[in-house]
Amino acid sequence: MLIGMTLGVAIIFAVDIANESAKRAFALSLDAVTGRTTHQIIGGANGIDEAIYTRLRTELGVRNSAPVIQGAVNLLGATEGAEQKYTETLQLLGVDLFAEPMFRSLADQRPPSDDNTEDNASAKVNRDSLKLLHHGSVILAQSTADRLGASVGSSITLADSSVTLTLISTVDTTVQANFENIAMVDISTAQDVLGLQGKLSRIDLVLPLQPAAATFKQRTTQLEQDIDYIEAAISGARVIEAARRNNALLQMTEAFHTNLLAMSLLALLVGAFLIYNTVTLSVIQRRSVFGQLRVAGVHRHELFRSIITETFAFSIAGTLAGVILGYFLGSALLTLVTRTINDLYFALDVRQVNYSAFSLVKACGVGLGVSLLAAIPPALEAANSPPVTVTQRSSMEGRINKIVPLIFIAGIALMCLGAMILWISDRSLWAAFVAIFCIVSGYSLTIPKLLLLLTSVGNRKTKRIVNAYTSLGHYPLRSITASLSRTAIAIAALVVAVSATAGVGIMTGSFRLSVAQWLGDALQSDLYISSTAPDTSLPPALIKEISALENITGTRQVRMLEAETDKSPIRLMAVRSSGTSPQTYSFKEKANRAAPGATVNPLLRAASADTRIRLLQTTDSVLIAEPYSSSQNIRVNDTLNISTDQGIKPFTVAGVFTNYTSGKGLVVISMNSFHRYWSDRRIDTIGLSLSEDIDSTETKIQLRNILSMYDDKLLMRSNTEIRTQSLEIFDRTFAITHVLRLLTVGVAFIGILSALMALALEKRSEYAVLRALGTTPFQLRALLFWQTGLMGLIAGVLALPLGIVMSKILVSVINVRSFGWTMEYHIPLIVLLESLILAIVAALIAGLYPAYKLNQLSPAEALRYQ
Amino acid sequence: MSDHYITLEQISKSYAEGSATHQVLNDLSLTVAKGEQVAILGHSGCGKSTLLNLISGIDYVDSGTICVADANLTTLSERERTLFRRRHIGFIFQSFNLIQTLTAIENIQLPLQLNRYPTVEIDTRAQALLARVGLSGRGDAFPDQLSGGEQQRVAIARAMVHSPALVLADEHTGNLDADTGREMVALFSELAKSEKQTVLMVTHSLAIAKTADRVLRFFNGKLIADDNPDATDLAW
Repeated sequence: MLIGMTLGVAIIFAVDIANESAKRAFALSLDAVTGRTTHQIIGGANGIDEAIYTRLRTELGVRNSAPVIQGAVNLLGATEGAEQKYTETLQLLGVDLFAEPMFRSLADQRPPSDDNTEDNASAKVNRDSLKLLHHGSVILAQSTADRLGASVGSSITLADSSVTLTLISTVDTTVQANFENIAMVDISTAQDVLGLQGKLSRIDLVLPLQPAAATFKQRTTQLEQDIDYIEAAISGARVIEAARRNNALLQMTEAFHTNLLAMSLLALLVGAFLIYNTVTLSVIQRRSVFGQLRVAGVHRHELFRSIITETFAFSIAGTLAGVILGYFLGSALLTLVTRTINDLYFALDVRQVNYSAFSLVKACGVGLGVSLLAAIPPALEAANSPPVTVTQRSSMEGRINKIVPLIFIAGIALMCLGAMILWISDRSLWAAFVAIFCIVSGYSLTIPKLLLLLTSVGNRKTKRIVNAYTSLGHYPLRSITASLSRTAIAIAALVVAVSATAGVGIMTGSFRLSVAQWLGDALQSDLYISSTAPDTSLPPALIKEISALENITGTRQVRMLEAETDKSPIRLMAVRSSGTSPQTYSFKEKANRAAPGATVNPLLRAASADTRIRLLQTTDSVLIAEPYSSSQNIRVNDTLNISTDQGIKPFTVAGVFTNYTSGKGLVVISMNSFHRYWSDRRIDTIGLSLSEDIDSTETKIQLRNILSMYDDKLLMRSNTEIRTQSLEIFDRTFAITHVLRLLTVGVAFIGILSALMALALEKRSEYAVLRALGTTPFQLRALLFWQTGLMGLIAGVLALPLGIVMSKILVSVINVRSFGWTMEYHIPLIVLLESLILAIVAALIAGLYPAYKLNQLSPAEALRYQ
Repeated sequence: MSDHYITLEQISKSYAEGSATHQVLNDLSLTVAKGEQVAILGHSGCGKSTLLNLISGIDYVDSGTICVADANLTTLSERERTLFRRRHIGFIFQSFNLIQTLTAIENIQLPLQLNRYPTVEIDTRAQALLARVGLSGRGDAFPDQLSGGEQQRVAIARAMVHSPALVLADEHTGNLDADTGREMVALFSELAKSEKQTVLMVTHSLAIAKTADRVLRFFNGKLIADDNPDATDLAW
């Protein structure tokens, strides 16, 4: 019972820990890089010229300002001789030490106390920070330095820069937790490391510039005046609220965390099942003891109290053990969560394991609450039954058989409720989760009835097969149905776990297929050349030289930059195609409907892909990615106001295209429009279409030779390489869901194991009789394996419909509502087969230990103690 | 080749009870002729049931030799003993011990299935025996739908259906009322005689013991009397 409770609580707590730790680390990182900043000046395409900062402070007198350079870096560990060095991904924060104190501090701003070790440590770090002025100096969190094997004074190399850093001080993260993911350097060091000489990522501001006015209205007016003053003085700059930018970043990861939350709810369901299963079994299997106690004169209230008290005592121990196990399990899962965030959203290295009081209360509440809830019905049943019938298990099974139809009807009703919630809820993700929870719970209530139906059909089919191995054809299936109180719950837990495996498997399969198709559509060029250094571009001479090559039949030039809109920050992709390089986007009809009642440009009504692209190239139009359209509720024909170098300009949305990149908004603009409103003339990436009748290897060599004459940070990749890498990232993103699925199946496996153990214990004398009648130990073991295998098969068969329904909801509702991704729904048969096999194998493995115990059975002893 | 169907030579059996050892059978020697019906009398714990378990091969002797139908059980492997028991021995228990998940007819068919009789023969033999024990029409009933007497009839039919040469009955009327018990003994005795089966039955009842050809009396693991039933002291 303890193991069941422990695992149930552990899986619930572990998923929460992984999710919360990653969220907290992300928020802390944002906090560390933002500090007390209220507003930020964001530049155009390639950051801000550092001269603007000088002008801001000197000419405009904006003293509450600080320049910042920020970017992801990979620091290499100091492991001697290791083939692959330890790498830590951090946010490099380049700051101006003289401007910084108002914005960020390396230590808490608490008043110093007489003998406070923490404050002394903080003061030391603040003193040390002055040494950052030496070029190449860096301050890291002590924990980060420990992992890198670096101590104060030692050198740290970077994976993607020739600059070597020197560790000059460390920050104790127990004092300042938000420093965990930060490498702090002076602004000039950061410019060198990130290749941003003369540039700034942004300028942080603390507004209002004058002491804040007393009333809210006055403060608002003061702020608006300050913003207008700065924006008017600096052409192309835009002042935005720091909190808004952070919120936009937080929203990006929210979808991913929501997905994890779904897994956590699933873990909650299966964990609760396991606890219910084990507690119920532990009470049921001692019914005869309770009967004897009742015969001996124990009052029903006393019996009920003692069962509940015992369960409560066990649940406290199990919950405590579960919380401890969950903590370690959660730490392991955290690595996978962090990897996904790194791949998709933000350079983050989470080491600190965090959990909220709510998670702890939730895990403990489920552990204690479900245990008690599970114990009450059998305890009431045992306490209220006449003493003689309590000793007879058949009487209890008889009662259970009577309520099976009622449970079935309740299950159907719950599933209908779930379907109704899905139907009436529009965009609410929570409603979708509640609906899926109702459907899964409802389906598990129908399992006893479905189990009886399946076994009555299967009995005739299996009899002959089982006979061949055991001569006891009816026995395995009859044993399953005769002990419905034990087997139904265990099978239901396995059904839920396996259906989740099938559901998520179908969803990821469909998703992968859609991503592969999308990559096929999006990657039309044969080769891609880009710069690996951050915020740099391809030399114009190189573009000219390559485009002129004989074997290049077409080019696709891309400039990608961050931009602001009236909705939220976007990634603006300016594109120009020439020759045989087409502009291909997939426009789904459903995603390209204009808002109801809107006056739509006639050209956009049921427009073809060609029309949309033509509008893009010839008018002030943009194409927006589906997730952006969904999250910001922007539709075709709507206007998107984008902050350009010439101020805010309106662009008509000419189409919503399929896109499976991260949740950050992707907006495509034609290069002509881009050049009309932005002064940036650079190109990040160039896609090349090669002539079909030539040997591409020769062209590649030719291109490599050209590239070698330019910067060594230029990268040439083929269409296939990018596709493979993209799919690798996709697979890594879903690695956590695979692990969680397996964990869930593992929990259900324990449920089956405990049910089988209870059955084996109860059937000892029956097995002894079979042995006395001439059944060999091998036949008995085979019998048990047939029984467990059939339980697995039944669970597998029953799991498939639920898995398919679950996958449909995940694909058509959850993914659309959380990520804004629509995808092709595709059921890979292999996933269904794998799920079926998984259920059977899990059950068979669960049968190993009971079979081993059966092998130890002495028939004479079992008969003697009967 | 011995004239005896069962030969026990100086067998001893003990069980560990905590740190102590309980000697159940001590240096027992005994022979039983083929077709003989033997009743075993004795108080609880004197080793009667253990003796049946040893003769059937579901338990091992500490020392001595047990031969049944020329097979030396003490030298056979676990599997060989199981196969021997399957073919040659029928077992009737005090608490019926029917398989609860199988119907009456399926319980009776069990030994035939284990001995891999042809399907047709399994059906005919089981139905015939069900009729002989007076349960025609009750074959589809599960054990918990039958009375104690009916369950023991099914148990007798199960023990006899494959015509074993040796039938072991362990207090087979112990859970039945006096009338039903007598009825069961008569049925069991009639069936065994018609098949010329050797029978060893453990009982506390002198009345039942008197239906046997021979009565063995045990006390503290030792055979203290080997009598003709007519000579058995009713006051014992």
